[in-house]
Amino acid sequence: MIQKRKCVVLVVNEDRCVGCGLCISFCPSEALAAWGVCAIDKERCTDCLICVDYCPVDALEMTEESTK
Amino acid sequence: MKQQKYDVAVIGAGMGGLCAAALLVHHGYRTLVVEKLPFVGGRASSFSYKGFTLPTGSLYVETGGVVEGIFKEVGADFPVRPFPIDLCFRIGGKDYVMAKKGGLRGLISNFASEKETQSVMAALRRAFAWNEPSASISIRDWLLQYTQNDKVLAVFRGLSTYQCVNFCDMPASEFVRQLKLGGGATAGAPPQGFLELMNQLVKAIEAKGSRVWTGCRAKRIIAEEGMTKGIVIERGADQIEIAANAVISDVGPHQTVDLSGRGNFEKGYLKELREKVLPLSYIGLAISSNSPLVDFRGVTFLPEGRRQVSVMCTSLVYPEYAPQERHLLQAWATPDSSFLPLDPKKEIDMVVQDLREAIPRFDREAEILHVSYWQKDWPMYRALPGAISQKTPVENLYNVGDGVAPLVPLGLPGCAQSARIVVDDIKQQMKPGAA
Repeated sequence: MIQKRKCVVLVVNEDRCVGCGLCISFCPSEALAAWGVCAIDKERCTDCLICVDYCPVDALEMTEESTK
Repeated sequence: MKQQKYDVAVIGAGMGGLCAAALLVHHGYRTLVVEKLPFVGGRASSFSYKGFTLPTGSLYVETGGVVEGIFKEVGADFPVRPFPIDLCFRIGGKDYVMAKKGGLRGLISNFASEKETQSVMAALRRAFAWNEPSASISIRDWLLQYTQNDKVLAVFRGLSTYQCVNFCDMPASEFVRQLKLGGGATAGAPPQGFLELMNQLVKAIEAKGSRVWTGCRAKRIIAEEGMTKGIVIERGADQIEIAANAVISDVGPHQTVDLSGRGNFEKGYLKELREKVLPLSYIGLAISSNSPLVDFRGVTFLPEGRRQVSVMCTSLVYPEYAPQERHLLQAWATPDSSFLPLDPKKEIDMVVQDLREAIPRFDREAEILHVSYWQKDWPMYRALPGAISQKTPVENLYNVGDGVAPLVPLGLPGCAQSARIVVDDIKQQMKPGAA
């Protein structure tokens, strides 16, 4: 039987993001980039969530996503 | 819920919040500062990135003024090294350095006839000595009454970049006031970065038993029957109620309202916030290279581009900001509109095109290290100075910072002065140890 489980996914709230670049500066995996609002490279992101703490406008959000 | 008591609770550890807390502690008030971010300083801080020291906002601070005065008063070190306030204007592909005395007249006379120069200077003299121009007109439109000369207008466009406001948005009154205040001012920057400077205030606060908690979010300002009683914070897994006789918010007037609940504020105050506390947008680029891309040691304005851009090779003055044998060029620009959220991709493309055209070796040597935008909830300024009072309609609830800066030079001095005004008021209202 395949069981559904929840996992944490990091998303950028584009309405809130101002593009200050602080999250990029503190990301240990270089998984964030910005040439506008910030974007997450899902391949590099390790879900350490350090960027969430460094965002001054709470634009990086953790959402729970169902996976199979 | 756990409970603790302080005389004063401060939300936000920017220049306004930390200056207020340090002054309060110096006068005997037990104070708690809570800061949501893991570091202090807000937009007056710095961080290390790929071996470079980059600012979160401020690049320099006035010396010998209100900021340094507060540091001295509270016994904090002020590790700031002078910054050359030499200004150079790259106009028509040629560099014009502004002389220390009579600089503006000399600069304008490069491009205008004696009669035209006289017309502009006479209007400025009247604005300085007799009556400020109206706030209802932009500095660009005000100047157009006296000159149509593009190169003369470019000089003023450059100067408004220095004040971080778009030439077409800067109220004429504010431009003239800042120009007057800026004359003769001296400034500097901390060679180890702004975080090191702001940590000196933290040391002064904590040396006397008060506390600065970073990574600690204020959830709510407790306001009941028109008066504040403290704040509720989240620290790790704990929610703590901090009882305090006064609360100072350094997170901007709009967020102060949100944290307290709109129902606690008079309608007129809320209307004033909507109309006057408008965040200003700005753009900053950190660019690395092997050799200095600009040799001038002060600020060089590129005022004829698509955007208002200024640059400075900060590593020439502060080699500590760059790794060995690398240089750091910092570029700042005002977007198309100062008072609207910016279109990041479009704005940065415009700025980069301007830099490529104005700096000959840019394409060959420049590597863009970091791009920052300041806008919306993390703006260049939360409002122009003098927008609203530091006091709120809720008794013993104050704002400090750039949203409530009085009519003093823009930026950090305004934040520090707002802190001094608030602390002077608290000293009148309550004695230390009342909590």
